[in-house]
Amino acid sequence: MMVNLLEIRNLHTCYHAQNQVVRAVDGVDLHIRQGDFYALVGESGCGKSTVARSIARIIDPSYAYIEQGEILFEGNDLVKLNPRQMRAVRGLKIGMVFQNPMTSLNPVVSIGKQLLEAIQAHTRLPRKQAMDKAISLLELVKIPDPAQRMQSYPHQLSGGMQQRVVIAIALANDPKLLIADEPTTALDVSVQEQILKEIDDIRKQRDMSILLITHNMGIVAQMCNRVAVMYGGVIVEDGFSADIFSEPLHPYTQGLMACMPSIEEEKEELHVIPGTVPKHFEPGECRFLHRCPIATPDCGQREPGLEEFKENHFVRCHNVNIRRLQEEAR
Amino acid sequence: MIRYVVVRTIRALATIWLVWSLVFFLSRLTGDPVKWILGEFATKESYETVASSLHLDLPLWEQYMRTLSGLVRGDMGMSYYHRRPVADLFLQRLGPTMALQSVVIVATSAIGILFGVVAAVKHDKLVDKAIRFFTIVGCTIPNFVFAVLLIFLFCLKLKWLPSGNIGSFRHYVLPFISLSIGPIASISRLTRSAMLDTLSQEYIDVARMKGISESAVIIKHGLRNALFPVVTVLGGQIVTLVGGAFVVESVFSLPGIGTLSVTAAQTRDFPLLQYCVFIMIATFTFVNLLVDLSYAALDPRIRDGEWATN
Ligand SMILES: Nc1ncnc2c1ncn2[C@@H]1O[C@H](COP(=O)(O)OP(=O)(O)OP(=O)(O)O)[C@@H](O)[C@H]1O
Ligand SMILES: [Mg+2]
Repeated sequence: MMVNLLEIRNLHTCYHAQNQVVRAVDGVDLHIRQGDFYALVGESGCGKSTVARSIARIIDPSYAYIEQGEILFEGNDLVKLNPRQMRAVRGLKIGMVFQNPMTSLNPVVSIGKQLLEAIQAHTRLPRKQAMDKAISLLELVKIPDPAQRMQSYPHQLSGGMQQRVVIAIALANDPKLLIADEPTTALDVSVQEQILKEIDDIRKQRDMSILLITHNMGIVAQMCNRVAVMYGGVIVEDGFSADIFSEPLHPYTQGLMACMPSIEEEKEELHVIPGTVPKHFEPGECRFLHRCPIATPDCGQREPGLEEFKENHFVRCHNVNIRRLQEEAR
Repeated sequence: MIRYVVVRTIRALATIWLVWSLVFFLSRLTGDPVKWILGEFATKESYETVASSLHLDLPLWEQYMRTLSGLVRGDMGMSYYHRRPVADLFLQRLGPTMALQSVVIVATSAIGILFGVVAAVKHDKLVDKAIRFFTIVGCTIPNFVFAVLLIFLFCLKLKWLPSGNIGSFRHYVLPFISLSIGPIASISRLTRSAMLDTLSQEYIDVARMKGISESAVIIKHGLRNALFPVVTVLGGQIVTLVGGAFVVESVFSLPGIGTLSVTAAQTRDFPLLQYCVFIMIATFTFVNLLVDLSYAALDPRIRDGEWATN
């Protein structure tokens, strides 16, 4: 039985914007075990980045805050840590990679210095050893001529190379968890897959866990062992990717799968889930109600909970749960 | 890089020459210094003697060439009134101006940048609002108004501080304050917006995710990048500062370069006026050149010519 490395319970994270509160994350539960390659998918604006940022608490306290919930990492609640304790977790236990490599590195500091800073934030290594470690990190992320690259500045590198440097920074202290928020969206398709494969190899070597945020269901199917599907600030389906891809339960997940360009059948046009994510949800009704192809009057009466459809496969849908009850009764 | 330095230097020299020439011709449009020297009762003979001794009888073009060649040779000429080399007069008055300006420049940049950083970090908090209020006041009210208000309050009403002349450092307090408020306000406003911009960049979050201290994030990654626009404006700020010094030195009757130039202009003492202008322009241009070059030294993107400027 594997233990949970990260366990998020009932997380609520809000933004204050123009005198109103946006509940970007509205009750999320998530558990990541050691070694998991965990995907968090969902449309733009559903709160994926907010979940990621809440974990490392890099949300701007002047307008964003964690309203309630627990984020247990190795059994300690990160929400309760003071800033100093939180800094000891960042970089050392949790590394993070962001969406845009071209703006992820300080333009006026050399690659080497930025890497050394990450290494020396948590360990007092002599300069020579720290340098060697930095070079070996660049090697790890497959940057050619790592020793020369130490002196380079970000603008001298391609986007893919810059993202590799950012990954090297995130991996500098051998973190237990790597959070990657759409790490390859800004890159060429050919580079995308390559980089994700490399990250996956490192994960296997180090028995690290990865939380990957992505829009690309193809990548999820190919690489991730577990998936959570988010919609409107909550998780609507959660389970092993094998289960979810063979039997997507939630109508939203089914929509996402239909959006995937399929290789076998040359479809004329991509299926798109009709409608957009509403900004606000009426309390007491299903969040997906107005876009749901299988909605029943019941869906407007009460909000469904996330229930276990079968072992380790959770779904937030009345109709699916009714189906389960019927199947059980039979 | 060498090309960059050469181009910038040539451009700086051209600027100095251009402004200097402009002042040469413009000042001669303002009137005839001989009439000033001799007063109303000048005879035709005395007028001609004085004019020819000052070479004012020569055609304008020849006067210009003479003065320019003097400038190149380092001979700056004599004051019409004091019959002393202008450089001597200038040096004599340099003390008070330098004392005031150097303190103002160092203090305003330090305080302005500090205010800007604090305001950006405490974005929308009370401190930020207070600093923003101060910057609006500081940017809109001209320095001579501050000077007059300060004299009224501290010299006439409270009688705490002297209002004119030099002596102890107490004489410099009010000129310093009236000269500093404006620049502090504009530097802090600029630093604040530059900091807000850099602090929202992704590399700030990447730096935070390394687990380094928040002050290291703000200074090493935030301020270091926010400083570029600030340094540029600082160079330009010195121009306005010295301009402001003319007025403020006059208000506080501080015997510095400001009052010297104003008197030179009033009495049409062309060599003196030109010398003052020359030194100031040369200083500004030199400072701006240094700013440009320090940019290149600080920003690897410019060093690589990615933003190779014309
Ligand atoms: N700084 C902010 N101020 C106010 N609202 C915000 C802010 N950042 C995000 N939000 C809101 O929070 C919600 C979730 O945003 P988040 O960035 O977490 O979405 P996401 O799933 O990562 O989207 P994307 O796929 O576009 O990255 C959105 O509705 C967004 O409008
Ligand atoms: Mg996002």
